[in-house]
Amino acid sequence: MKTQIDIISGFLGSGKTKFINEFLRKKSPSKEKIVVIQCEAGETEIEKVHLEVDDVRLLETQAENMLTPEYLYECILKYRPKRILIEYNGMLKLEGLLNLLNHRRLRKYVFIGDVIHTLDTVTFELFSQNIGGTFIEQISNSDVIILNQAELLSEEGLHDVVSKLNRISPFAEIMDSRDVVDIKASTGDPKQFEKVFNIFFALFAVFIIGYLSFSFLKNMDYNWGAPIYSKILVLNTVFLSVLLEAFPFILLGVFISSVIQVLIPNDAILKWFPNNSVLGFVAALGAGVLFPVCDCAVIPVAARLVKKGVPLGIAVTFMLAAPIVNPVVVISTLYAFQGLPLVAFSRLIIGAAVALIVGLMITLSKWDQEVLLDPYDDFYCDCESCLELESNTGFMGKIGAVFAHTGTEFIAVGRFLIIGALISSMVQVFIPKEIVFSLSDKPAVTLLIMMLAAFVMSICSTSDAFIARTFVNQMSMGSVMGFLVLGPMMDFKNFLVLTGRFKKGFVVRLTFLIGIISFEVLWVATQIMF
Amino acid sequence: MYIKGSKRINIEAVLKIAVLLGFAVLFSKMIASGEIHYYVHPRMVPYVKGGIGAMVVIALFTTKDVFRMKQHINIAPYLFFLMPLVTGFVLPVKVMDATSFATGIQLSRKAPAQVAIQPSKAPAIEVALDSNQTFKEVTETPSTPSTPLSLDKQSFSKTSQTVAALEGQVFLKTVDKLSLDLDAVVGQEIELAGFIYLEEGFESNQFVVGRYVVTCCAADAEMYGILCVDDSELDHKANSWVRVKGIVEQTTYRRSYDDQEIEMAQIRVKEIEIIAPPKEPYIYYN
Repeated sequence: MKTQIDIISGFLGSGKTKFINEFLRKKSPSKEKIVVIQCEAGETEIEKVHLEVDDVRLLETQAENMLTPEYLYECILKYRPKRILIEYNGMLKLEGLLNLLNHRRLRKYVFIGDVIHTLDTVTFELFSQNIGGTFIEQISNSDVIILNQAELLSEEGLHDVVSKLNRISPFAEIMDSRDVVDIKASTGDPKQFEKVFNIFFALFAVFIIGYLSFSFLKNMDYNWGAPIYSKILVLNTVFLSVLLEAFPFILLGVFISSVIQVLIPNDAILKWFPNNSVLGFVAALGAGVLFPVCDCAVIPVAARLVKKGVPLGIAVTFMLAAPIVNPVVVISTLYAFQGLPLVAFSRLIIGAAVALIVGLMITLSKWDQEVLLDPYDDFYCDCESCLELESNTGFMGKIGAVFAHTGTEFIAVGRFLIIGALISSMVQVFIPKEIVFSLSDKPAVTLLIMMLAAFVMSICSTSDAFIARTFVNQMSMGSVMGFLVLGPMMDFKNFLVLTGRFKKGFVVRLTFLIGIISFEVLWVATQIMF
Repeated sequence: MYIKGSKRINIEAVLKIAVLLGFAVLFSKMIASGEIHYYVHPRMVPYVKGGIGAMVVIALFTTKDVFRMKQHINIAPYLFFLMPLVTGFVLPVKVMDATSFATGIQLSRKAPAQVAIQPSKAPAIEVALDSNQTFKEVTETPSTPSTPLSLDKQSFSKTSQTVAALEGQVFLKTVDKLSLDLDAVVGQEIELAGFIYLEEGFESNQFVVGRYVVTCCAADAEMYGILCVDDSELDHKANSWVRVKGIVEQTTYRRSYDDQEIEMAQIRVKEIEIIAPPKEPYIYYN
């Protein structure tokens, strides 16, 4: 019968020993042998009264290196405990201990039960900002988090702490120390919000697919010739072609974002983007010219800038302007509309104008600046490579961190790209363009229709000019300009990628703001120009 | 979707490496077999190669994480990546042909004078064919001697291009020319190669000779073509590749969804032969 090993971690004064005492007191007397190993003797001592009972033994390790597989093996051999509670020092990563417990020598005799972390809610904020890595790592590896001194916090403050903890360790069960009855193995469900988001997302996807199939079925009067299997193959080909095209640029985007995160110190970033002055916005537009990447690639970079402290309005201007003002897009627009440089030129001007206005409005209306999904880690992120970084500051180490971090962000961002690509491919393959043409001829409505088309089709900004060209005869030039301007700034794919990095509320508000502003600007501009 | 981490190895790192290497292998396979050209424009291939390299490097750097413990792992993101990997390896590539898209096609339509853009610079206008069109043919007796339509081949003949690619560019230029400058070439002889596309409602002697033009990737592939009238006994089977030789004419038809009468180019076929489908059927926009 294997020994259950429970780990109780937490900082000095966070309440580990107090918790163990509580546990020992509340447990029903039985023949169950328990060994308590203290790696750190704190102010509170294991109460003598518990130790006098036959079935509880206390061992103390003074030095870190005393806790080895052999030591534990000896302990098990000697006492044959049912459970071992290891009180673990707050300044070390749990990973070391977990690896230790997986040592082949021990594996036959032990299994890891609960990993518990005790936390002083009053000092949580302070610790997370100053101590960082180890602290976060312990929390993220824990099954149960016990909050101490929660009564000293306001309702709002406590809620704040809990939501931050949820961010770090979505799987963990968070309990108030006053409510703890017994340590038992927690099976835990993923936290509520994650579940809700997944369900919402699945429903949304089903709705979209359902709607697309419905509208495609509705148009039985066109020649769709090939049987379903052939259409699926076409869909697959188109879908993969979008990924083939987008992956290199997404990788580039997250790579740049990782470089900024790992290699560039915060003050340097803030120097380039001066705070909220005119210069800041000019810099944002200028930086857009320097980033010749697709519209999906710029989002991780913009998120990283916000994380590093660039004001939200300026970062948004950068994010919206980059996919339009960069040279690659300008050139492709010139190619697509050969002989009509006015198109490329007005796309550039209108796009920059909208980006600027949106950014200014965000700044002036003082939108909530806490829009990132994990705002607590202003100065570091919680992926393994960044945690490792603190101990490993060599150049190779930093390069390694950049690449490892790129991998993590790529997975995080890529899934949204995949969904967006799938949906836009389905639109391309199944929805006939004629639907768009025959809907209306009022100029305002056609502008809206083209903007909506751009949003749904989600084509990369480096090549959407060519698709726009095909609309030119059926729709007015003004409405096609709507397609050209909105597409790079906001489309379905971008929307999804944004939700991977920013809070949903912010993304929705931003989308509406962009839609409204661009509609107004486009309306005015096209009345004048075309 | 969380699962409890394994005690032995870090499942998340393994998944990450599997996804990255999986795509690297898939993309490499596409490039090696040449299939990549059915997915993306050749000028994108260097970028794809760059992407492959990046993914391999990232996978290498992730290997050091394989033995670090992680308690709880969210596998949902990896499932999303799994989907295209599976379909990419399992399903064969589909070369676009006459039955591929539900959308309309680009036909040589005469550039109308009332478009707000200067007509001489108008882009190749396209028109969506629908099932209720009626054809009103305007037959014009050719007034000029039938000399082959000579386009300025010098302007885009680069010695590095293959013959097939060159023909593709010629095709595109021809379609363009027939829409921009139809009047100037009416009555001239023309030769084109493409696949047969049939629209519902066509007479038995009508078809479109078309080819797909790819700008960036298969997602933006658009069919360009010219209407043909052929009274020979040849069975016009959709998707078969043909080479046609004929005289350029002008004709009109009525668009059903707005009842507008459109003037467009048409080839009255004199010679037609079935040819083998080329290895590179797509025209890559330059």
